[in-house]
Amino acid sequence: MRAWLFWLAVALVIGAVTHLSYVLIAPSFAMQRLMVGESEDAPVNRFVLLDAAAQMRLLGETENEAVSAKCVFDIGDGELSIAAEMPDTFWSLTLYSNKGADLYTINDRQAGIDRFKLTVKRAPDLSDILSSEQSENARALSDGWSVEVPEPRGIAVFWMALDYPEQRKLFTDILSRSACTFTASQNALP
Amino acid sequence: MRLGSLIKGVGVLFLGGIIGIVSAQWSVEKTATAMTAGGGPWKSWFSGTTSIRNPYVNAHYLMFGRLPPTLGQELLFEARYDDEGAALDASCDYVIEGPRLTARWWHLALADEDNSQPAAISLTSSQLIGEPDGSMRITISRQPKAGNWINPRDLSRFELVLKLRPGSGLNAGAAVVTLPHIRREACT
Repeated sequence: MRAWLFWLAVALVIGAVTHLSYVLIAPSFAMQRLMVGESEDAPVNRFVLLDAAAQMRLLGETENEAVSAKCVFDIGDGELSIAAEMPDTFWSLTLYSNKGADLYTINDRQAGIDRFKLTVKRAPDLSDILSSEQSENARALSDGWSVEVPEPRGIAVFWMALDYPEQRKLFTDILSRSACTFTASQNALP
Repeated sequence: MRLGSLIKGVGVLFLGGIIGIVSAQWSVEKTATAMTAGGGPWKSWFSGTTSIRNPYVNAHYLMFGRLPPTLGQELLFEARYDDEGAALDASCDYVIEGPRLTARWWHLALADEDNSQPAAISLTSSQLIGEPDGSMRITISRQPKAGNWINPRDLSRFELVLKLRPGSGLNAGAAVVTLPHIRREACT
């Protein structure tokens, strides 16, 4: 009887560990897969236009419905400058952490312009950032926008709607002028 | 004796793993809320008014290969059943009808029942042909239909995923959105 209780307790402990792993750890791996896509060596801190298959994997939308791009970032020892050029349509730019949390998002109506620069920096104090709202983290600067994020790794997703499939070529041409540029911090330089 | 303990250990490990996965999936499922202004089969894991901080909600999206919806930009609704509560089956025809969705852009997609892969079977707001009275009507059928028609192709059971992008950047709540009805018609 005691032995059965012991094994039952062990099973429950394993169950609890599995439960927490499923909810807390496995989604991070799933997010990693979403971020890098099919290729194991996805470029980091570089702007990448998504082809039809990659867009379907990341956003679940076909090439006739939207145009998208991504920039997988790692700003552990520096900052990222996103120079976005968007067409005159409905678009959004969203930053996710590598755990799937939304860090920052903006669309065409909120931005008011289709060409801007967004600087992504690591937040100086994690607890301050976690206790504040997103709007408080984003501050308009004279040359564009600056956002401080609590997570050093993540992905920036550029998205724009297509009214009809023939717009794809034009929108892709405009979006491809965007860039992600990483600048190492002074402390990280040799 | 040792072999017996080994078998018992593997069994306990297996049982614990099953308990953990089933309870986690059940908990993730339970975090969804029926959220439609007029009732109906649509569910949402995202309220639309605050960022996702619940790990179960986050797990729901990521474990099924989707980016979680972002605050102020997106609302995401899912339906696995029709208005009568029957599972959506591709051998049946369905009519999705209701007032035209007010979002600036929306995307209605059919996903595989296990939801692990997005299916390239969808319709967007820009492709919609509106009804004369201003409402919308979309037919899901393997047979060609007039108007807005979605062919489920080789899916058997499926799920509907409706993504709304209000476009205003405001935090519209999922609970106030009026969503269309899902009415089953003939089955083959």
